[in-house]
Amino acid sequence: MAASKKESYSAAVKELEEIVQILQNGDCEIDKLRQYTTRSVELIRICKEKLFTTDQELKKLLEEIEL
Amino acid sequence: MEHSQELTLTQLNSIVKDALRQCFPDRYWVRAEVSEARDNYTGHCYLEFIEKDKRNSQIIAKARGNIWANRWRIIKPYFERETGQIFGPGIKVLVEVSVEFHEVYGYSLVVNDIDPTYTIGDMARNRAEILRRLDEAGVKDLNKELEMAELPRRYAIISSPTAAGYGDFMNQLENNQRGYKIYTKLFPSIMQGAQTGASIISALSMIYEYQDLFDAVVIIRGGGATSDLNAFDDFELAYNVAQFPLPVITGIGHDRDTTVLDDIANVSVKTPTAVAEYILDHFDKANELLSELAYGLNNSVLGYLERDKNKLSILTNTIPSLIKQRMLAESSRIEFVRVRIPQLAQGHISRQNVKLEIISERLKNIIPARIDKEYNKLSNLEKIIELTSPDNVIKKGYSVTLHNGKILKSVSDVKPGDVLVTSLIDGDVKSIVK
Repeated sequence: MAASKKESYSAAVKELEEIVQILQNGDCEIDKLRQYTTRSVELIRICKEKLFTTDQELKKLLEEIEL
Repeated sequence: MEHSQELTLTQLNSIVKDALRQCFPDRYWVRAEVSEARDNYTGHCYLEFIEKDKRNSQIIAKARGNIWANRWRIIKPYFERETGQIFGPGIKVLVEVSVEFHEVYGYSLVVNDIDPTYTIGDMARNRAEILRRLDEAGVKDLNKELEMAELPRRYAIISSPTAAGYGDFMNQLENNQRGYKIYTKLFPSIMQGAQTGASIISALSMIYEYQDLFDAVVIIRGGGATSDLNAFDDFELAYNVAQFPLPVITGIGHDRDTTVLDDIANVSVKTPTAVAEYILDHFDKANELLSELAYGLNNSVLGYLERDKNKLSILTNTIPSLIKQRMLAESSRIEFVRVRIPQLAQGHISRQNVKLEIISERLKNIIPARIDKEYNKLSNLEKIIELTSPDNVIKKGYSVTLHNGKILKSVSDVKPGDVLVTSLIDGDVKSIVK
C-alpha cells in the first residue's frame, strides 16, 4: 500500500505530462478537451496534496513504529 | 656475599637515564599507531604507541608516550584541523619524539611535533582499501544505483537525538517556508566513537523492517567542531549501507574531502542542513514542475477554445456570403440556360430542315430511276413469259397429250384402250392406245 502511494505521485506527474504533451501537440479533439481538462485538474490536486497536505494515515503509521 | 658494587634502584635508574640521554641525544621521527590517548586535568596528554605485525596484527612493539601541555595545546587542534580526525586510539601517526627515562615512570617517548600528512595518507590508504574490498564484493555502487523516488517525502533518520545537527535539520524541514509536508522518523544511533558503526547498522536493520514506509534513509551527525570520522571509514558499515534497499543520504558534517560512507551513499552532502536543503529542493522542483504543467495546460486549453471560437466566428461570417454567392451563381446559370434554349432549338430545327431538303432532293432523283429499273425488270419478265408459254411451245412443234384431262407424263399411266387427246397448234387429235 505504501509502495503504491509512492508510485502514485510519479504516475500522476507522468500522466499529467502526457496530457500536456497531447494538448500542446494540438491534436486534441475538442470533444475530449473537457475530459482531459477535468483529469489534469484532478491530477494536479493529487500531486499538490502530496506536497502540502498531511497524510494522517502515514503519520500514524510512523508514530506506531516501536524502537 | 660481597659484591664489587651495589647500587640503589635510584642510582641504577639514573645511570640508565644518563646512558639513554647519551645514546639518543636527538629527536627522532617515528611511525607508530596510537593505542591509547587521554588528557588529564594537568593538560598533558598520555598515550601509548604500538606497532603491529602487518601479517597477523600481533603487537610487536610498544612504548608509553606523552605530550606536555604546552605542546599538546598546539598539536591537538593542528592535527585535528589538518586530518579531520580526532587524535585518539586507532590512528597512525608520524611523531617527532625524544627518548626519555624517568626514575619512577621509566621509558617513554616525549612528543615534540607531529606530521598530519602521514595520518592523512594512512587514512586515504585505509579508505581506498575498504573501497577496493567493497568493489571486490560487488556492492560498492549498489546504493548509488538506486533511483530516488520522484518526490521523496518519507525519511528514516539515523542520528543522535541530542545532536545539534539533528535539531537544525528537523527545524529546517518542519518550518519550511512553503509549507511542504515531509515525514521523518528518527532511529536513534550513537554517532561517535567505537560503537558508531554497529549502532548505525542496528538502526538500519530496524528501518529495513519498515522499508515500505520510507523513500530514503538519512544519516546525519552533527554540529561541533570536532571530527571523529574514523567510524565512517568502516568496512562493515559501508557494506551494510551499500546494500540497503533504500537510497541513503549522508550529511555527517565534516570539512575533509570524504569518508567511505560518503563514497558509497546514494547522495552525500556536507552537513545535516545541506541534507534538509536537498530534500526541500526536491519539493521545490516538484512544485515548479506542477506549476509549469498547470500553466501549460491552461495555455493549451485556452488556445483550443480560442481557436475554436475563431473557427466558429469565421464560419458564421462566411456562411451568408457563401450562400449569396451560390445563389447568384445559380441564377446566372439559369439565365444562361433560358437564353440558350431557343437558340439551341432554332439551330436544331434549321439543321433538321436542311436534312429534309437533302433527303427530298435525293428522293427526287432516286424515284424515277427506281421506276425505270422496275419497268425494265417487268418487260424482261414479260418477254421470258411470252417465250415459255405453252402456245408458243406448241407453235414450235411440241405437243401436249392429255389423259382424262391430265398431262400424260409416263407410259405406265395408260393401258390399251385408253383414249388420249393430243393438243396441236391448230386443233386436237384423239387417239386410242393399242
